[in-house]
Amino acid sequence: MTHLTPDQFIDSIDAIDAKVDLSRAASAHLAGCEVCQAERASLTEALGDARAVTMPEPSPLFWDHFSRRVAAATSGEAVPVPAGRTSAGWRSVWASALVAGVVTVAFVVWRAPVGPAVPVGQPTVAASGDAVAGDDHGLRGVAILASDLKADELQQVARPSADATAAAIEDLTPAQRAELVRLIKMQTSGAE
Amino acid sequence: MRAGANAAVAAGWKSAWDLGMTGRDRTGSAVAGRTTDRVDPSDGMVSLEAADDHALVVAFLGGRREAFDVIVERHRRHVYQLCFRFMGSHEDASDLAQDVFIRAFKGLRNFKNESSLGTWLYRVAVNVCLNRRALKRPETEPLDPAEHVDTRLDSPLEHVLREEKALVVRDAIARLPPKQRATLVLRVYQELSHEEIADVLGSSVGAVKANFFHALGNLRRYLQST
Repeated sequence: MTHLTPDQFIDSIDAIDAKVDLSRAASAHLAGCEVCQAERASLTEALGDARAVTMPEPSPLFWDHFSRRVAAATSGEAVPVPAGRTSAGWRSVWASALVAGVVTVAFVVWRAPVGPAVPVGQPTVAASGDAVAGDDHGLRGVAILASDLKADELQQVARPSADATAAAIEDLTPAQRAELVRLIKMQTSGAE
Repeated sequence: MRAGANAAVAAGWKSAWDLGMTGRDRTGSAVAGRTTDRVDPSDGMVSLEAADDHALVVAFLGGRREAFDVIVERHRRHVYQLCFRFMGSHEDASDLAQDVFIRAFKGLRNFKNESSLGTWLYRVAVNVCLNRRALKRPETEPLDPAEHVDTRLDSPLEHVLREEKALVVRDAIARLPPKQRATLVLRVYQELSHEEIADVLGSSVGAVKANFFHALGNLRRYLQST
């Protein structure tokens, strides 16, 4: 057998502390090889030197002081919210779906063929969400979801920051992503 | 377990505890028992001090900021010791340990519960220390024996010799390459298993043993050259 490998040397040191059993072949080699015995003795001595260095113990008062420092440093931080687990996370999902819906509706309206001229005196249809949705159940669903959002949230959706949508999607769970894809597909297929 | 934890966060701390989650500390000892033993009769809620690490994380992410204070109290000593072994001075160790917990505060939402919280904190601490070490070589702080070490059983001569030797060894450890130093510190002083060290350092058990072997070899060479 060749000399012990680094793994086996470490195992042989651990074997001193009865933490592992060295393999029979390695033990047999070690018993008869002076080179490996010397190497192991040298490693064991270095380990003993390292273990002999005691850990300076701070004052008992230090620990409370330390905890106060950490508390002060984190006092201005909000408790992090688990990714995709909260109502805020779901609001991001609905907000993204709403954006997708609005974009789709705008695209459909923009691409719609020009119809016959409206007779003079006949009232035109207001471009409200309800009117655009008509009998489209998907758009009605989006409208219902949007009704749950506050005005400032809608404003935020309308003017998302550069990475807001990407970050919101990053935070989604697989199930939430699947739901978002389903909503978008539903809207896109309705547009075609 | 994962699904249960998610549900617990949504439902709140008490429900999380009701799931009966138990945990283990880094030495493998059970740190939590039956949940029914820990309900505070005054308000029906669970005592955070009695909660296991996993439950503390769930409570913290559920909005109970004070759960993080308990996490700090429970792990500050080990984190500080690890930082001290890396940096060699009380001031640096104190600053870095604080940095570790600030990062943990911000990063606990990403804690996957695939390893123990202690292992995760060690991982953060090693990264913080290695990043700092890249900027600054650690100092070896001479011990003030009157302040730190119980020397009642030493003669003055023994004490001086012991401290001189300790200074030389700490300096030699400070010269080790980062991965070897991290492995040696985690193994010798934090008493982690090779598997736990592999988890902390994100490497294989074989690589950990090889690093430990080379760390001891280099340490021996440095000590012989002084």
